[in-house]
Amino acid sequence: MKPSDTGAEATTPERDLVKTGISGLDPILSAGIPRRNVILIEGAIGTGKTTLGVEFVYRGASVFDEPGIIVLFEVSPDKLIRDAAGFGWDLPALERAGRLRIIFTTRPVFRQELQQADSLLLEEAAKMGARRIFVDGVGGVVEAAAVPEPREAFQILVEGLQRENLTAMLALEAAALNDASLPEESITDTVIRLRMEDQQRATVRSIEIVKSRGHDFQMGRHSYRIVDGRGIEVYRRVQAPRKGTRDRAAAFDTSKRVSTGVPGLDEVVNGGYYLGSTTVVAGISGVGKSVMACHYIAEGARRGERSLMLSLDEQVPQVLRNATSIGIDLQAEIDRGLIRLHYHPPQEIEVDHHFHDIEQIVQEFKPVRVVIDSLSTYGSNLGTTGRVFRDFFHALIALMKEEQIAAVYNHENPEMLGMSSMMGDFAMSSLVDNIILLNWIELGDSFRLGLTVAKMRANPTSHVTHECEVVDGQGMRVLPRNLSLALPPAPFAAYRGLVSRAPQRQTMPPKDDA
Amino acid sequence: MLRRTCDLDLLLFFARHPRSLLTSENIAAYLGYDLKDVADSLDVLSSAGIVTRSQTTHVARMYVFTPGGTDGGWLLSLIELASTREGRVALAEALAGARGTSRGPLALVASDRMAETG
Repeated sequence: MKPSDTGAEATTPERDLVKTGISGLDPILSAGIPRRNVILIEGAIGTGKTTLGVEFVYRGASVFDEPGIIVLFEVSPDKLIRDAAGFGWDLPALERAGRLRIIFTTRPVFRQELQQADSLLLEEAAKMGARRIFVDGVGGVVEAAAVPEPREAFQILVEGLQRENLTAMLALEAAALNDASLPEESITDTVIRLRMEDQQRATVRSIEIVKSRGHDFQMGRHSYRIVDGRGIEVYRRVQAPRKGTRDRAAAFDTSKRVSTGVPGLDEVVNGGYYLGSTTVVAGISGVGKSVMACHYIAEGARRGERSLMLSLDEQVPQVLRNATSIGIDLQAEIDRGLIRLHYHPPQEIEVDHHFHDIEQIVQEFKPVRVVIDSLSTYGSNLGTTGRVFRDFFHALIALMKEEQIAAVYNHENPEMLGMSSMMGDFAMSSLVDNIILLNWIELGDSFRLGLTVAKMRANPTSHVTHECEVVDGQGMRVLPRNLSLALPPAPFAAYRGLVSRAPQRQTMPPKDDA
Repeated sequence: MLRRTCDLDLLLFFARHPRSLLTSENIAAYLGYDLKDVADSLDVLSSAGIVTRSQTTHVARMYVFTPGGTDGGWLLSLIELASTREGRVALAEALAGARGTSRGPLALVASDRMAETG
């Protein structure tokens, strides 16, 4: 079957699938691997082939009632048991329960065994009712075969494993993986490729399902980590299509709005933001974006709504201190369980893992409001020119819409006075529902703060620039417009230089040419 | 019961590889002993119930370490003692010096060890 480009749900009946039980891997495999598939795990030294194979057997024996066998050629079983204990896997207990066998052998013996009708290894598998087998280092088994040809020798190996209806995982060391396919790849049913790559002095692990017969799977390089105390954790690549409900959830419920929490601002944005909407607050550093964010989550707490702030720029104590300085006690709301603050260090963000973390937090905490502070920090780490940032932001928006969260993203616009572009290098304003611009305006000898609603999708509003102020101990408010001091509105004809960015009102109306 | 260093080394090998599918030649190569020494030691361990081996016409056999088959758990203490170089050397010397006693030399060492550790 062809791999999925669409994120389609699994079509193979669940009983015919073997779940790996490895965190995050089964969803990429559309719930599992067809039973009796021979799975090739290929990768260089240190990529985690052994860990993945051992976890496959361990999860089978401990979670899915599928006893298993681990075949080792080089690693001493006692060291394997020691290393597995570091992940919390008690292999000796499974051995004592007759659900696991760790067999140490040599490659020539192993190869000969699988060619024997009365193989001791397969007899052992049959006696214990084994359903899974992991063979660590299968490459040498084939190479050790002088006769027949390596490809044929591998075929014999696969046939032997399938005689006992085992779902087999075979680890193959491949020093340099490139586009050239290995002979083993064409014989096995499923090929999983593990990689470690250098990215700007960091090492990033990726896992790719190259092929898998008999079911759907998600293509591309997903990320994974080997985590102490837990094992392998796979994070679906952020670009991979999610389930269809995310798109369907994008429709707004126009009956509910979320108050901004900033005095005077709700009137400017027609009463608040829609649930499931995406709002960007853009402005230079220090203009009051984070202050608005504090108001937003505090207002949520005041109304008994859960709010989440994800900060990449400031650590949690700093956010708490800043909030206190404008009279907002976030700690009290954290203690009540209505607000969560998370700080993620922006260095070396691994985007799949990071998105996975956000998804977990959102799905577990179920906030109504989320603030991300800030988009520009993501941009400076992920780069704004490639697709990664855009795809990540796209996925983030889809997640928030699916969960019907009113999400606010702070974005640092580099221009101090005025703005020539709403989102600078971040050509993403089309993805966003609402854009609020915060601008310094130089009047006399002072910078004063202006707020303009540049965009409110499906929600017409005026584009008047309102004056705001941020007062120590009180926070931000939008000042009322004092129209008695303003000039009455005039038609375009009363101005010159309309497209010059600095139109000037004429003192005398122009003569009517007509 | 255990009388030679080959017996001891084979015991330690099976403790590290509790279930192995190997030929006698494989084991001899891993341990660095003659094939005959290994065959004799395999008989010793097998007779003592420490290792079971499959009866088969295959070249390779399945060897399964069965420490629970011995009395008193002294075997595990012995293996722990032999897990360091100093311990292994001491045991090998004990083997060389105690041949001909009525009790197996390693059983003597193990009982001394257990007496020390209480």
